[in-house]
Amino acid sequence: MKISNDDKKYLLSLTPEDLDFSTLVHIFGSTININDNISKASTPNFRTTDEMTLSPSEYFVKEVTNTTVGRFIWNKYLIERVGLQDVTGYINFVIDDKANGKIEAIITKGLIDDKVTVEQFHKYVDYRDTLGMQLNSVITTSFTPLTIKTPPEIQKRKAELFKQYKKELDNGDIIVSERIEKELTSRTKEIFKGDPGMDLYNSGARGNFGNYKNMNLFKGATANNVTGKFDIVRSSFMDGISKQDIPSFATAVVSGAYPKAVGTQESGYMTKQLLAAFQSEVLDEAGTDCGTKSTLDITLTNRNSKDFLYRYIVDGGKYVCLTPQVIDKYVGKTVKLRSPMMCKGKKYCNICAGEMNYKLGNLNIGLGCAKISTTLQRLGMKKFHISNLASNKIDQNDMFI
Amino acid sequence: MALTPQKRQKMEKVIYDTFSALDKTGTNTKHYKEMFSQMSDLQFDKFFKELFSDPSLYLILNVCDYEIDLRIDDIEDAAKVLSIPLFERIAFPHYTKDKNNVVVSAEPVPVGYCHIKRTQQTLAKKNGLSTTSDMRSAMTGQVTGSDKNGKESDLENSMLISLGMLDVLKELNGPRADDLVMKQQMLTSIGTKGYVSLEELDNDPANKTTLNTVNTYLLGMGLNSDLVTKGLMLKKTIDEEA
Repeated sequence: MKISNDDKKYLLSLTPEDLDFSTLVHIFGSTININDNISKASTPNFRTTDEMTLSPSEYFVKEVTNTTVGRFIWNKYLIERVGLQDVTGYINFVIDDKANGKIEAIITKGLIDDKVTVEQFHKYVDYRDTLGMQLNSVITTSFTPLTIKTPPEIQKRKAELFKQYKKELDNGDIIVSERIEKELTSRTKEIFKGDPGMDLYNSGARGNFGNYKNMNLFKGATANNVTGKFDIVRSSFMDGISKQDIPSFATAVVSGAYPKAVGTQESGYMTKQLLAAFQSEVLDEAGTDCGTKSTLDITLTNRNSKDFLYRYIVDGGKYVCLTPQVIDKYVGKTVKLRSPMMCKGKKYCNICAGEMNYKLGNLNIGLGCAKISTTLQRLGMKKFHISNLASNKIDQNDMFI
Repeated sequence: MALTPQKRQKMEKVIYDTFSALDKTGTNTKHYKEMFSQMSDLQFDKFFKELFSDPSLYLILNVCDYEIDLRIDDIEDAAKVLSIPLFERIAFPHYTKDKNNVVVSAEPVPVGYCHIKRTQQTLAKKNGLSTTSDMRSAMTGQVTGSDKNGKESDLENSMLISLGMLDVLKELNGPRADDLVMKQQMLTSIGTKGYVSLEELDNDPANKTTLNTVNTYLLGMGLNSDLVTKGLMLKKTIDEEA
């Protein structure tokens, strides 16, 4: 619904500092007096999906822009408050987990390019978390009557598919299981489209539709270490676990809980091992140059060029730093890259290591190795909650470079 | 109000309809019909007066896996019989703490009893807090025993180095770790002025218990160490010979 001019005037009059939790509740919340019956709850003054139009004379948009109240408040609360207008511009798309990653990649790039200060970045993270953690309970919900159950048409289709592919499922055919999983999942999502209960899944903030699949559709393929094959579990938690599926569920419990319990220890120990091995990998002072004449021949492409940002190459006997401004000039060419692999310094010199870590203020690069073990740990922990199946086709020609 | 036959009939109907909704096999309904049919009005009245007087008592639903199952549809049917909404909009008074503006959930949400039992892990394992740093190892000067949770490990130190937080490292590994001279100066300064600065504390390697212990071990093993002093003598020996 399009908001009135008076409403727009009110929203534009707000400063980021005005947007404390009480004001946000006043804008988006439904409230009552503590002595009133819940049926007397007020209607929110605005919905996040209410529409409005902004012009460049009114706000930092480049042209007349149709947007929503939710996006306007988000921009005001975060982008305007932190002063990131020139870096991100007005954000005018659905802000879910993926979009959030995209926006933060822009801000991170701004940080590296000295367009965003560390203080601004800290402020962004602080206010992002305050907004996200507080307001979600005011404007959205978790489970709804629709999403808590399995739609009857899905139950019917599930039974049909299980009957049709009984032989394949009995033989543990994971490709067929995955196909059924995909069909039931996408049909269910179609039925739930527009229901507030999908906010939880669509936002990407918490919950994964894999949880819904296990809970309401069917658990699917579970590795059986005894047979070395997959069991296709056709029960869901809502159906109740059938007698024949009990052993497979028990196996799944172990395969989920083991990485969380023992895997945590293993990745913790791996972190210590990696840190012990890499702690001496440090960068020398800024401006240092070991003077090595050895370089690596690297062909820069559109795909890999971002991996070499702020590294040094030797071009015509001179050092060239691959900044965002010059790197495109070298795409499609084979360059002579200075690399830590050839560094003669006691510590890695600035020219061999490039500028990136100096810009990030991190000279102890070896200590970043903990990322490897924490990523493995996170994947193990995730297994406790969901076990989706994914298969890919591999073209054998892709295996040869 | 005295129990009348009509009232008893009405009560029994609600009970049987509810259990028939919850248990489609009729086993539970049959069980309660048999139970109540053997009660006189007086016994029935006494039974329910006792039941209603204690909130922890209720009529039990007998469930047997794979024979008498309970599904969400059955719960919905039973809730309809009892006119109990399973989804309601709820208020969150703690959000705003403003009695005139209590936030109400945007949508109806599932409501019901949620039994939360405090687990042993929450109670005993993850609730450690030290209020002092008095329990210390004589060998390393590090906090130990009941004060052990005030200690930082090699991993925390690695991460602090990675983040370039050198002053935090100096504080956590100096006056707040095994340098008891610095600690005493820190406490005195805070006690008299209300604040302390790292610069005003005596940062002498001779006061670092762990450093001196490791240095002593290394020299004892015949390994050259410059952790505390250069050369092959302990600081204590140098001081005594000076």
